[in-house]
Amino acid sequence: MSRVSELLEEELRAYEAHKPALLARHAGEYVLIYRSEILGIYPDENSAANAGYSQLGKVAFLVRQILPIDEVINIH
Amino acid sequence: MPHTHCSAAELTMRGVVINVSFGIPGSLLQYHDPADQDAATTLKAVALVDTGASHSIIRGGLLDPLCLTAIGKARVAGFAAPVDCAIFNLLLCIPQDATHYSRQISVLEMEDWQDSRIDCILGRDILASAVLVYNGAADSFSLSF
Repeated sequence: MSRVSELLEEELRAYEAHKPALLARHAGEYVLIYRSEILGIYPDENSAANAGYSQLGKVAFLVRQILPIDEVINIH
Repeated sequence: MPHTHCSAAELTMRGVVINVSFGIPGSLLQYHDPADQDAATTLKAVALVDTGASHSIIRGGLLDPLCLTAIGKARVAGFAAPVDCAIFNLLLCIPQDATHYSRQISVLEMEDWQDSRIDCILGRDILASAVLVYNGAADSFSLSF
């Protein structure tokens, strides 16, 4: 199993669990999640990442844009 | 406007390739231990400027010396089959004449990286704020931010 497949599983489960409520109030914004806890909502990705770095340091946390459907990135 | 050049020889051999560096964001510096010689704050990389790529991508393991942790993952299409990629947030620095362009970005990490000649691809997410001029007669290009 690749290291990516195991990455941030707890945080992604928390995101899915909170997604309906997040969409209702913060669609398009960015959520910062550590383990199963939502730490904040931010207007852009860098603000959320910097908040995570400042509060948590070099640990794994999730920054995710709150969207109805999680996009598949098409590289081309 | 400060800019980065690529020589005719480089352009012919490898395409639009430039030297860049990656660093840890300023918000992480407070956690950096200068005594830890295994933990770097910057690293150099060779980047291909690719207007055909919507997102920027790095080679798997490239960022290991920075001891960064991923901030997400995404499913990426456009290769033989869709793949899951980790997302890293970091500082990109591009030398420009006597100065440099610096910006905090997020990049996708590709575990199965095939091209050993380059370390990363700078896609349109970064090029959106740049001016790229290709001079066919001189077989050269310049990239300005």
